[in-house]
Amino acid sequence: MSVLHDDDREQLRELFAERLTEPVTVRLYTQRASPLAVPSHQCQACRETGKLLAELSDLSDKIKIVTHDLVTEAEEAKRQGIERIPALVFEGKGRGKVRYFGIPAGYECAVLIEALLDASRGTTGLSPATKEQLAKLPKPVHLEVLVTPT
Amino acid sequence: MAIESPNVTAAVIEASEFPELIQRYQVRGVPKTMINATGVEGAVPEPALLNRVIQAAAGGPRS
Repeated sequence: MSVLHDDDREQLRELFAERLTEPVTVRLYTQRASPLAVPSHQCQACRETGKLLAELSDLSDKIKIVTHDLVTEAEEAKRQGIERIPALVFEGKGRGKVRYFGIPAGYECAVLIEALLDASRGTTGLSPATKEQLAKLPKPVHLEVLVTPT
Repeated sequence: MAIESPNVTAAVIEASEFPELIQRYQVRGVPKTMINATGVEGAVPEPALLNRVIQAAAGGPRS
């Protein structure tokens, strides 16, 4: 069964065709399916997130998904600042780093789509004044936004 | 903001999947935005968030 509804799929296909102008890579940190199923060590949200991403990448050839394993690729995960899964890292023309932890379900799926579009183009809907100030930041700033699915 | 500036990193965190963070950041409502180590509850308008980011970059508390 697919995660996306047929109506949404068509809308997204059009949106991507129109606004996804540059290639974007999403790195999904997850756990590989193990032949030994230990319920307490299974990341249910990882599987769902993987399915959602696969369906989104089917809608545009500009979206590339690369799957990483948190355990076997621990070094790389650490470099990316990933310590919990599922986690997404968006790579496009954007300058700083954008990550998403947890499953982007419900309304949060819109956040995922926006991140895809913005990361691809390297530009956002922020005001020119904000962009100017951001370009002048003297030191690194880390933002975290905690949300819940709605 | 992270897309616009090489000095900004950003993460969205689905809080209900990571309960340890709810405790660590003392989350009582969502959205909750952490700017370096300082938290703001509720939606933050763009100019207000920008001010906080500028403050943080100017040497505000960092953990």
